[in-house]
Amino acid sequence: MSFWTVAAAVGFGALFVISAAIQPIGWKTRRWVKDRDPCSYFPTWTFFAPNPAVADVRVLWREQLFDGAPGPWREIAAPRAGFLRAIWNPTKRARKVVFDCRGRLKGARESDRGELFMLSVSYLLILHHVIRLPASPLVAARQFVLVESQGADHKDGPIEVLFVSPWHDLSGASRELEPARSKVPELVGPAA
Amino acid sequence: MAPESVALWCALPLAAAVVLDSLELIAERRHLRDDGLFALPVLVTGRPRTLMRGPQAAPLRALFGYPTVLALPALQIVAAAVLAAAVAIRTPALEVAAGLGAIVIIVARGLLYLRNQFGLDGSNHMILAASTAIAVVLLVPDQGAQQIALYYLAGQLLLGYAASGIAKAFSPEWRSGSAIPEITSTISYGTPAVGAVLMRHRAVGLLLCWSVIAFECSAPLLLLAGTPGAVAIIAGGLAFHTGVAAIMGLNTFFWSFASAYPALLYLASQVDRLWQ
Repeated sequence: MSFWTVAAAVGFGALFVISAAIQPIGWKTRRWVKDRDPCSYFPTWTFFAPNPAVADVRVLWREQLFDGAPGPWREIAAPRAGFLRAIWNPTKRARKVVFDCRGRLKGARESDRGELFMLSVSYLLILHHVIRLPASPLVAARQFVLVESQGADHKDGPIEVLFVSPWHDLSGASRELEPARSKVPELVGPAA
Repeated sequence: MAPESVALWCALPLAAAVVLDSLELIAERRHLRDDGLFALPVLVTGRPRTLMRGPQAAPLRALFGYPTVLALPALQIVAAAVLAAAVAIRTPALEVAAGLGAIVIIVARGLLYLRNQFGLDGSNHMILAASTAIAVVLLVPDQGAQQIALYYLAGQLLLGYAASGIAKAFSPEWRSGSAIPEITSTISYGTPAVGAVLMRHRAVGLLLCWSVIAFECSAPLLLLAGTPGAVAIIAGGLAFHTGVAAIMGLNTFFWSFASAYPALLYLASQVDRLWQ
């Protein structure tokens, strides 16, 4: 048996054994290996099991103007349906982040330390994105909610609010935005 | 069939998976910017040891910043083109280039996953496993090592099916037949019109759930039947992944899992020899 055969047997054998050892969900080996796998080489093959995603998780946000008036709810990373996704579905990563965020929230609530959810990277990713969206100079703060909905949007399916963020002050962040990136139309000429 | 030929058959769907995945990432590049959903200033807080401290932190942050980070999916597209060229024009030099291309895919993906592990799924992991096996087969001039690399890829495929099948068998939603109707009722991972039909016909949902459980759990056992068993796994897998792509929109699974099927056939041919 050659050196290369032995090396391949040892290397691939180790990769396979580690992969198999991290499949059971409750085992501590999974967390241990994942904490030491920064490039996410080792797979966890669960594929919608044991807890399948049976509802859409949506992120809605709104803003508050300096006069205290709240604006309408808007959505980021809205889910898209259609058979074209079989060929081209670039938004699936952003959707997965929203789902991951819901998982973090659930985990934080189950451990009875719900407030820690606001320190998780998935919460901060959504918050950072919401805060950095183009803003009018009149905006004082923004908040977002995580909502679970079921079925198509034009049907009256059940909706559950999972989490309501506090209002996040934009007084510093909004002023950093360049005017050119703001989508608020400028008033040109005399008002009618 | 020689292991190199098998690896090149694996390389073709792998190249499709890599190109599709990379183009989709580039298409949604706005989320890689500092105001996107994958904003680097936030992601570094989740990797303080790697991206905030030490001599590697500054160069990695420079590489992961926008738009430099787009070089990583672009490099993968070039590497996938080399893999496809090696399949079309069978020359030893191109086979070595394809092996190096597979390494480029592993490194570029590893760096992308180091930047951001959010939004990854099983297809991303299968791409890494297939690239690893193909790189070893095409670059290591030892038939024993090449065979083991192909066995590893086939093993990951069977492990993937078995692990997710067993997890489903333990799930009340899957056992009761409610999982597929409810998943397909979502917009994100389903097609609500299909979900509504399945909700009305619970028996069909039950049949579909148990078909998936039976297919995934039985895959490793089917291999014991050798090539006919592998053909059955591949037929079931192609039907399964086509349905997943069409109904759920998880399109890269089809190509990434298909990249392991030639390795499965190779392993099955070795099982055939055991029975002779």
